[in-house]
Amino acid sequence: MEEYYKILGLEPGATSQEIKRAYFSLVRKYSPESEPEKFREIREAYEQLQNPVRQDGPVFPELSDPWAVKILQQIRKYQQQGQKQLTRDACEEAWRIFPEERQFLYLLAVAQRQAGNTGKAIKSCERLVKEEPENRWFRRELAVSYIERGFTKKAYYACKDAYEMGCRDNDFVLMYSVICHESGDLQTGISILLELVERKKRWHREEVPEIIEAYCGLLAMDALTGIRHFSDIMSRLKEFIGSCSVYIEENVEMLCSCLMYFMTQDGFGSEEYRLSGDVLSALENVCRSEEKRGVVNELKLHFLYGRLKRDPRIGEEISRYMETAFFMDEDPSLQKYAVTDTKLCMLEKRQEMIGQLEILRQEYPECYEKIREFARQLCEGKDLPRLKASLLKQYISMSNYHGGGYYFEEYPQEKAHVRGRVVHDGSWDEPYVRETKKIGRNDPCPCGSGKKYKQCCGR
Amino acid sequence: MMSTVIGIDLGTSTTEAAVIRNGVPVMVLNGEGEVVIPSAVGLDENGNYIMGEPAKERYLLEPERTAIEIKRKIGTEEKIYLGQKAHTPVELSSMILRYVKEYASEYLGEEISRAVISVPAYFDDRQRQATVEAGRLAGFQVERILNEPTAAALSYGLGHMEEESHILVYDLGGGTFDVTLLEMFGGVLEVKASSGDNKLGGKDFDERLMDYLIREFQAKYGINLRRDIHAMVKLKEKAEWCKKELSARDSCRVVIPFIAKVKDEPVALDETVTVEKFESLIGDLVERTHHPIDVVLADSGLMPSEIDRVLLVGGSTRVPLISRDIEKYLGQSPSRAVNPDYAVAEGAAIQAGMMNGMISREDGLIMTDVNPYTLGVRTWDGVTDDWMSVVIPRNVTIPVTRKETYYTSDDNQTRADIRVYQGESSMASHNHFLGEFQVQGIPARPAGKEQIEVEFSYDLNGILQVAATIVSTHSTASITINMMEGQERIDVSKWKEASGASQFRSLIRRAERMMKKPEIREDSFVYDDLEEDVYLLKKAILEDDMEAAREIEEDLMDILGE
Repeated sequence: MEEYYKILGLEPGATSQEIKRAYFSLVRKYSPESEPEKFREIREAYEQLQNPVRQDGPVFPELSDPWAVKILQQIRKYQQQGQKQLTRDACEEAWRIFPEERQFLYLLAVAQRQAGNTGKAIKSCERLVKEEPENRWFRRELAVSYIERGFTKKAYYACKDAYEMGCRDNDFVLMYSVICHESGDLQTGISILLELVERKKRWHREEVPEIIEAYCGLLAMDALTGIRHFSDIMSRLKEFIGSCSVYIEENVEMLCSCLMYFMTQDGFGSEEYRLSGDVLSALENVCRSEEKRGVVNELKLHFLYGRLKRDPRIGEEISRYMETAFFMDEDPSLQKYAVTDTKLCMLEKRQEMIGQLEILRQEYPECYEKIREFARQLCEGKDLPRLKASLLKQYISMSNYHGGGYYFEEYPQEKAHVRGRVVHDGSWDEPYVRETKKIGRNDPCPCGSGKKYKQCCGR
Repeated sequence: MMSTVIGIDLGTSTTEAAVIRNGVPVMVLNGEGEVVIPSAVGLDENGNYIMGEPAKERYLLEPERTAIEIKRKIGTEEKIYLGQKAHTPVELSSMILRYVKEYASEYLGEEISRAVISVPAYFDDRQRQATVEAGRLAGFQVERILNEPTAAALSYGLGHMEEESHILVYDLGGGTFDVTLLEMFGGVLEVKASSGDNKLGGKDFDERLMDYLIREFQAKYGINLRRDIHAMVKLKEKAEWCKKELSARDSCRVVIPFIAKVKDEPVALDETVTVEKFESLIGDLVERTHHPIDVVLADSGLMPSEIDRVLLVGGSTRVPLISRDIEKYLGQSPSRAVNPDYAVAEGAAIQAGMMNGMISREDGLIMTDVNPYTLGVRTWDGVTDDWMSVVIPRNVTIPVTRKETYYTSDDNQTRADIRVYQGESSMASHNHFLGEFQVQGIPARPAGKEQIEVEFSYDLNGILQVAATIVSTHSTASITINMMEGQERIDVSKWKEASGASQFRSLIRRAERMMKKPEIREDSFVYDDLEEDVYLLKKAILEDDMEAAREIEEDLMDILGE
């Protein structure tokens, strides 16, 4: 830190206005054009001093021994280079030489944990906490070591202590909430996350993914408690999306995959769907690029489908139809088969369907759009036998390939009408035995066209 | 005394040039005494190219032989036809620049061969490269590519050196939209954030108006004017005129006589457009400017109330709805302290003047800029190998150096591909690929145990250096990507004289014959492939690289369907 002040020609503790003035006057002297290297240096100092990195930690008394200061500098250097093993070894050595300096023990604990020696890290942390029980950073480090080691119960209590002592950084709160979730203390988990998301109105770009993660955790725990805080969470989420709109777009995949999971959960009533719908439209407003819109649209389909499926007035057939139309588009042939299957079932229940389709048209226009053509045919009721015959014909020809399906299961009598064709019912266990005599190539075709079989259906 | 450097604003619909005289920017006039030159190129009856106002007038008569709005296509491979002749956007832009070069040399009485050319801040590096290429083809030494909003701010800043303020430059031109947030402090102009939409501009307003007129006409007479290119050209001109009229008046009557025939009777288009109607037509386009404004505000961490001044640049900002919208969105009315048509060219001239010493260092502004797009490498994030891992985020002040550490993802992995991308998507493949290289000799160890440090250095001239170091062995590999320099094409016309030419002669002849077929010319994919392969083959023959030639021969055979 002092170095940065030195570069700008300032004393440590200068005000932000002084920093700014110094920076701009230096830029005039060393412009990026004429002296790019010097400029880089000035710029870095300015950035570091303007928004100090969120790198806080315990404050230790100044080291008196010049040798210790040197060692500390070396350790910092290794840390910056990301040399985990070297850092650990150096810390170990430092602590051996200066066993009374807690700073080295703390650094050793962190280095041990980062190098994967979690067991040793726990030992070091426990020692630190014993020596100085009221230091929250030591407690925090102990909790993190427990988490990495996988000691959930111990981690839970350690987190609790650290939190009570005032550890509030985003990373820690998120970790604590996960531990609460795992230990079953959902109330605490929810309350600490709610406090976290309420803390600020405007978040930094780097913080936004963390806050989204917090919301995901909130929703997950809330679902387990029987969605008690749902409306509260959703209204805050909506506000959050509005206030950080630009950064939400960058992280929309994360948020959507989380929401998608909850929209397919049980226990969602119409009120929950209304609130989710608000969040969804907020998301739609935020996402402008083609790609991100696709992500939101995918979520929207899941949302619509989930709502439809839970609507008691809408029968199973229609939600099945929507499922096929929305989600099976990667295999068009299977999709067509499933759609035909559902259409046939709907034909059989025509009277019920007419009422349901009307609800669909009024309340779920996006869904109705998918089924519009068929719905019109069904409601008008013209030429129904022909429609059924043509659907049946398609269905049978496809069932040879795909198998399965609801129609023949629910209406086995229809199967009897099908003659001369291999109708596969989805099981391959027994060899198929033809029900009627085999049709010869030159026999008249059973479909009634009058042509020879080989020139009609038998081609 | 160093030679004069000219500042050029090469716009979508118009082009302007300026130079520094006695420390202040002065606009350059052409032979007819015009400052604002339409960015149009035409081909006259004698096969000569014409530029500027005459070309634009010709567009009404012979749209097939005239090109306008070239800037919208720059950086793409799309062909533009003047009559039967295909041109690349770069060639046509270079013709406009050469025209500027000629009249400026005449006006200033000295040969002008150095230029600063402005581009929208939101142009990506393909578009920038193409602009540099066009300048070079026109015979300019392109000293700098300058962002248009920065240029506008420079032209404002020169007269307000002592000011300490945050300035938002709102640049809505013919075809592109740019927002830039700058901070002026002690004679330094610092760009804090840039964003924009490079497919939004005044031409879209015209288009909406045309759509409306066509719909109304079709409703009245049942004739679709879109089929008639001459009617469309007249309509386009009238729509543009109508848009300009509506900036000053409440309604405007558009009359085009004899635009079509109904039962052999000529009918006229006669439609009155009110301001309300026009504003309802373009409302959603104006709303599209909000998102980039949000981005620059968020990236610079400022609230709308902290902005001291909103500068309007670009002809399209004359539409009254724009000012009202800004006032509503940012809570302050925009300033008209700069001339929206001249500011960019003036700013480019100021930059030029500072580079060749016509403006002394004490009087000049110092400027810092940002990189408008995120730079990163493609990595494996545990789920997909298409993850865009950010090394330099967008809107960071350049020059800048940033470092990231990555780990090996496979056991006993001994090499790593470093693929460099530019763009905002979290999926690397959706972004623009810049280049790749390989680090080899990673010690064989379990996954995640070896570290590779990737360092990005991005400098003022748009040169990106990427270096990768294996931490444990300190071995390094690197690549330099010059985003300002187009790939140079060598002259391959003498390929026939090379020794290995005979065996490829018939193939090249067949390919070239195929390229002349109209159905191939329409399919730009096939055409571009053919062109590229023929070029590469000729190059390989010239360089006597038979192995490469054989490979290209196979590719070409595939395209030719043999």
